[in-house]
Amino acid sequence: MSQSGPLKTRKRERKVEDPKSRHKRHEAMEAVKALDSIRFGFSENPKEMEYFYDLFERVYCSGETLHTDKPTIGTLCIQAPYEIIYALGGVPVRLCNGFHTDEQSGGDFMPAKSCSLVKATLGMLNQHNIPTVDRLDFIVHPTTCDQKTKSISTIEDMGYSVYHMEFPRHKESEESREYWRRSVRSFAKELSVKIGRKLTRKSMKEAIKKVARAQLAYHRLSELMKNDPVPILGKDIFLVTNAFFFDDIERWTNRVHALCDELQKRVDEGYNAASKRSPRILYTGSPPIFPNLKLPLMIEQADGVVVADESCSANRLFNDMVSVDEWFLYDMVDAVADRYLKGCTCPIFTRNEDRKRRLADLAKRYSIDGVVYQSFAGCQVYEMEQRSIQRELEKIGIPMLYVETDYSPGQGGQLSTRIEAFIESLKVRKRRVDHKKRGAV
Amino acid sequence: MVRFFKRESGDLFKNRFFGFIFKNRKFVFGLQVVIALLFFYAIYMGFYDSSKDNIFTTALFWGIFWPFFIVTTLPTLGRVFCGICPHGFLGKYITKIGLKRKMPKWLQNRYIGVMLLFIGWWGVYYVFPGVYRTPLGTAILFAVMTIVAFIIYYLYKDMAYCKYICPIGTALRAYAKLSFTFFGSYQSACADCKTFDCAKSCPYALSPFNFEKKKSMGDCTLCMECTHSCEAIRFRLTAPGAAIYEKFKIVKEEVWVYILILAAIPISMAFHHGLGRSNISEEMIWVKTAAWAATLFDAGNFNLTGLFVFLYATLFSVAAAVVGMAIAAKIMKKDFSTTFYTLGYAFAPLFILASFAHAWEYFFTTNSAKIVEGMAWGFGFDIDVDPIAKRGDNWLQVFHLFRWIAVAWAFYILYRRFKHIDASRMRKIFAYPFASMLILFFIGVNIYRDYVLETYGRKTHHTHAPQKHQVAAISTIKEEDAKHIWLSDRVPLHEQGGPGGMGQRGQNTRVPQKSIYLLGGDFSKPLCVNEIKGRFFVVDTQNRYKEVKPVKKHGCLSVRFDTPAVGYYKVYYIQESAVGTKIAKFEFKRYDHNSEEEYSKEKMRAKTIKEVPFDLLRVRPDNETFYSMPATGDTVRFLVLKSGVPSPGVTVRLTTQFGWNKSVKSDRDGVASFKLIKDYMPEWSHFNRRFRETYWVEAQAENGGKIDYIVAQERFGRSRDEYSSSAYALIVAIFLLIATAGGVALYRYRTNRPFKEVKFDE
Amino acid sequence: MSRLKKFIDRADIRRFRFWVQLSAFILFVYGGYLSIDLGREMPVFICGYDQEAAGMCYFMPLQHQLARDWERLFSAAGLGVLSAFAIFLLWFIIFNKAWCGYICPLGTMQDWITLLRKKIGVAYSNYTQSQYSSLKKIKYIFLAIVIIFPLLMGAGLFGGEWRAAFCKMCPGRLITPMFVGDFSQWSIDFSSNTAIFLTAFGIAFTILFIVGSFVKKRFFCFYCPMSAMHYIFSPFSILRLKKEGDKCTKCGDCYRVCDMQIFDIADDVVSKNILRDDCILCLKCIAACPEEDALHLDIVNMALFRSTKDGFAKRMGVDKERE
Repeated sequence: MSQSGPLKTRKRERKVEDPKSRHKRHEAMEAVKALDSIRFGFSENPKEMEYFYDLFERVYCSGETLHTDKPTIGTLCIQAPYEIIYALGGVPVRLCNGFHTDEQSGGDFMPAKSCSLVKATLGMLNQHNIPTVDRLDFIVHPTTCDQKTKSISTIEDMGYSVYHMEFPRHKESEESREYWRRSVRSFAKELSVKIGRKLTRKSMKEAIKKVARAQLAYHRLSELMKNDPVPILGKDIFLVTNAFFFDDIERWTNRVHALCDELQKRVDEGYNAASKRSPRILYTGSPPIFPNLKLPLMIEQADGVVVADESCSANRLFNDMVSVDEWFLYDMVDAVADRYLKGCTCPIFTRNEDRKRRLADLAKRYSIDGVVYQSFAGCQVYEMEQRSIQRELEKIGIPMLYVETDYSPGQGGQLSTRIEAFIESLKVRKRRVDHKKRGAV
Repeated sequence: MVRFFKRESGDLFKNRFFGFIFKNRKFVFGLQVVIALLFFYAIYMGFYDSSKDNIFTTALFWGIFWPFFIVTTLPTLGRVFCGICPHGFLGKYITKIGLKRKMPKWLQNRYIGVMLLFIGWWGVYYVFPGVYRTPLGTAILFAVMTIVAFIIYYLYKDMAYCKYICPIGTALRAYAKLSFTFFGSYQSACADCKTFDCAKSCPYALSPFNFEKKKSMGDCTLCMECTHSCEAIRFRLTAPGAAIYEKFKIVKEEVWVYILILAAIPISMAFHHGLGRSNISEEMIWVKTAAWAATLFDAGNFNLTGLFVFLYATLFSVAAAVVGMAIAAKIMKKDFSTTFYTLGYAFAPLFILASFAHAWEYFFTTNSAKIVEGMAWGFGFDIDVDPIAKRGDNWLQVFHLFRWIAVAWAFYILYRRFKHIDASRMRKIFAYPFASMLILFFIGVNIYRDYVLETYGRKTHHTHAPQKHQVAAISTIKEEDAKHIWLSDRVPLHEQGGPGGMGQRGQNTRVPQKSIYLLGGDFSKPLCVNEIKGRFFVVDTQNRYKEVKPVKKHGCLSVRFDTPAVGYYKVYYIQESAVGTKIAKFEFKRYDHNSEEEYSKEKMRAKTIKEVPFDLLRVRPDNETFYSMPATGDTVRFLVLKSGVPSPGVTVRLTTQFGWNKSVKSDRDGVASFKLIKDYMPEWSHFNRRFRETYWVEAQAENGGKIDYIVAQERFGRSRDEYSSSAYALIVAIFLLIATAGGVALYRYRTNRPFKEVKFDE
Repeated sequence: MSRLKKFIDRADIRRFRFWVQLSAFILFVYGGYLSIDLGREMPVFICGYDQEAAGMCYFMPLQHQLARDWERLFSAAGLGVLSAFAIFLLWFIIFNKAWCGYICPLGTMQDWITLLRKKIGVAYSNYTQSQYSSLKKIKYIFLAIVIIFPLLMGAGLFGGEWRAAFCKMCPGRLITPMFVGDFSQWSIDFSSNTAIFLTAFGIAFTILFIVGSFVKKRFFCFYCPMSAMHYIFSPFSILRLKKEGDKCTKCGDCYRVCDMQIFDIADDVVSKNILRDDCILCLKCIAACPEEDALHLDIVNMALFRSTKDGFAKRMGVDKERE
């Protein structure tokens, strides 16, 4: 490019951006926007959260990749057994994507009415542009979500190698449980062949313990949210759990414990991260994936606080723990399989008794004032379950707000109005209840 | 009205057979006609031929009607008899043509029926016994009731006779609560009903659609009229007695039925036919009262004992119930009436189950023949059959269980009905024993009756047939002629191979006793000895002794002594003469499983007494307990004592009952040892591992010119090696181990259960 | 107090159980050497054929008592049966079914065979759900044999050989005396056809016992008539196994470790009392439950041992927070 010569005649260099770079740039913009609103939109964040903000910035905004030294296994659903992947020396990377940019890209070949998350994920895969890792050795998908299952052939056409694990739609019967155990066992065998390592008792035991420690760290974190006033806002919790998708697990565990230590100090001081009368919200439904944390953000901007959630980007990941009777492979692998199936409250099952009980239990334990049920437009199963959940919550006297969203940024205004109205009504209710309590004394 | 209803399981009408016999109008009508015809025929025959020949009337009423249609169907299917009762059957038609007036209040009293049953039937039964046993009496009873019934049916509407006047109306209603059926309707259909066809069709003016809700069938007689009007009526199976646990409207007369009928039948029978037939019946209070009353006036046909049995039974039962309930009410701080009538339902099973058992036992031992013969006679045939079982058959004992099942059930119902009373838990627990006083009284009467009959025996009117063991003439031998004389615990008549020495088995004796006989002659051909010159000594477990005079038992001379304690008893027969002393000895071990003295070495040790100048003691091995006995292959050792001093060099001979013998000399310590050989070798199919073989040990010694002689009888048993084999067992075990383990391993290796195909290489 | 509770909740229940079982085994099988005799109404299989046992399994005297002829049995003499039964009940209601899991010598032996299997590294077998529901009824059939056969003897229908029919079949008769050096029970009694059949059957059953407990955890307990009898009276006991259905996530960890494969612990979220007829109260389920207070062992409404997250973490070896 020559810069010499008179101004008039200087050739202006036109930078022509290729679609890929433009895509990347848009993504980074989205990520930056989301991260900024998370980071700076609220009062004092805990100091330990800096690590997580930093991590997201590095990975999503600056394009750093992780796990360059180990085989990376992409997962499309949290039912893929992490313990087995770790035992074979791999690293599981969750591929669920939250970018509107990628959703638009995916919309090119997906039906218009399909789930935003699936569109975004497919868009991302199509671009061969996974933000968190350099390369993806293998994708494993348990056949849970309809749309993801159907898109497997599309993904394969993109050039990835996909292994699907057969997942039952009914978890009460003995047959379905045996079926899933076999799926997990076959997966373990297949993966060990693909990676080229043997599954040993020792590595399996280590992996189970590693994941258990991570789960316990999250449990400790969520226990702290039981306090009133809460020491941390829900948006940070979601960020922490979103980090679990791709971060190194041991580092993550340690960081979460450090965060918990700080929060414990906050609790002892009586620090309130929300405001005095913030209604405590239970968030349930389709998972908020970074950067699509707009719903929790809206709730907290409207002065509510999300103290607990029942979605597969947070609570469901960590809820059930593995228990082993005999430390032999036949027992350990079966125990791992059982953990994923039996406690699962995903709406893809035929019955959802467990989900109702889980919500009721969470509502009680976390002293919930209201529930926000969010489903992505196009996610049939979540949409269909909301009625029975609403009935169940009515029985225990907890109000529920049902919203349907997608990744498009345009919805913002209408949505926040509804949420604000809901939070207001909860506040009024709370005031009335407090008055009643005080009056009764 | 519902035309069709999908019946649930548990509904008897779902089953084709039951649906037919209950709901098919023609069948039910036919059945009712047949029964009515039989009924009237029996009554007619009762009048026509009222002699002893007429076994038809009594068979029909007391053989079929009472045991089957009342006592058997009542606690099981419920009040099904009322559905086919001739009174009800004809009554329906009579009412149709009758005056249909409303029954006046003073007649609407259930106690009329109850008292008719209680006094008119059972009271009369005790006071004028046999009246109802004769065909004429039976016929008169039922004829009178029929006439009364017809009059009432003609005059009044809604089948009021069945509810209030019929003697068994309230009683059946009361006991039907124990059945395992319930007649009601499907509530889902009744919820929308506007026409109430069932109530409209009911001849008793009841509302069947309310039965389920009210948890009570009320006066329903299962006449099945409503089933033809609507298909939503059901006859469902329930748990036995389910109706009686529920909270339903209490009908006081039902509780009184339970108490009075219990008094009138089981208690009175226990008094009259149980205690009254024991050997101490004169001591019973009713007999005493009757005897006293007889001094006042002449009774004639009136059975005073029966009357007082009835009165006392009623008095005690009612007192037990009322006093108990009163105390319970006081404890729970509730009024007497509520407590009594709520809890009184618990007394329901006592009569009906005991009667059930009695009816069936009677059926098997007597009635089965009577019914067949009676019915045959009624239609002109003369047949003679045997009843199914005999009186003494062991399996009939199962019927004695029923009264205890009734007691247990009564306690349980009481416990369940306590829940209907609102009182604190502690109070209810304290009140429970008092509320159950009538049940306890019932238990007490039963136990007392059994105890009295067992201890004092039954009165007999005729001499007994000779005992089981016929004592034919046993040959005897004079003492001086006998080659050997010894003591044994068995009379030389019956060869028993059974457990040795248990002469008594729970008879009327309090302390167990033992009889030892003096036998003589050849060991293989024992005879009874008479004309003896010697003396008998009995030594007890503490080594105290006394002389005993012999008695003749079963034709043999024997001594009998008490064996109260656990330990060794010895009997000595000592005959001193000029040529020497002849001694016969028998050692008897008494033990029982509850004794703690099995390890007492002191008791186990063999001892002697100073009266016996020459004694043979069996030396006990170290590990012997009361449960062990020498067996084949063991060594038995006998210590020879001369005046208490061990004497070596004495010839001791052992002879077994099969003839083998061996002589040894006693060693330095005075002990002679023998190894018991195996000489019991019958055909294997006759081998009895409990066989005790008898052997005799004799010793003879010089004593200053005279010869002393002693013979002792002992027994030894079989050792395990004779009939069991470890080698075979080991072979079987190893074979099975390999087979099972191999089988299981093969199964696990080869079976590919669905979804278990993937296996890990550890 | 709370420190004690924490200590108990974090306990390694398997080690505790191993030592209790061992001590109970030594006490009961060898107690006779020290003249310990705890009576003849023991609610566990302490076989009377072991001469040096510190007690006797209730079934042997029960069968002998019920075999009396009925005239005697149902008279006042029969009250002895009730008093022995009352003592059995008193022994039982203290520990409920923990007798099975912690004290029964036959149970202990099965656990030792399981340890052997684990050492060798052989995988265990389990029943499928349909096999489970049909086979579990067999223990009631054995209980019927224990009760009814002697009664039928008393009624005169069976001969004397059948008096203690269950004792002849029980593996305890052959195995327990071996521990004091008495191998005499390993023999077939040829004295009558019935005796041949019964003793041979006893040997067969014992072999089945050994092989079965090698491949299935606590094989015999599934068929045990004592377990059936216990369950009938377990509502009266002071020790209870309780569950809080609301806290249960049905993760199935409790069922996974259960030796007896009791589905209800995981699947039943309504009942409060979760002790089923197969349960041996080994408390492995409480130890394996990761939810706070979802399962607990109560002694008259006071929780003794609870499932806690902390305890679970410690037992799984993940309680050290950071590496």
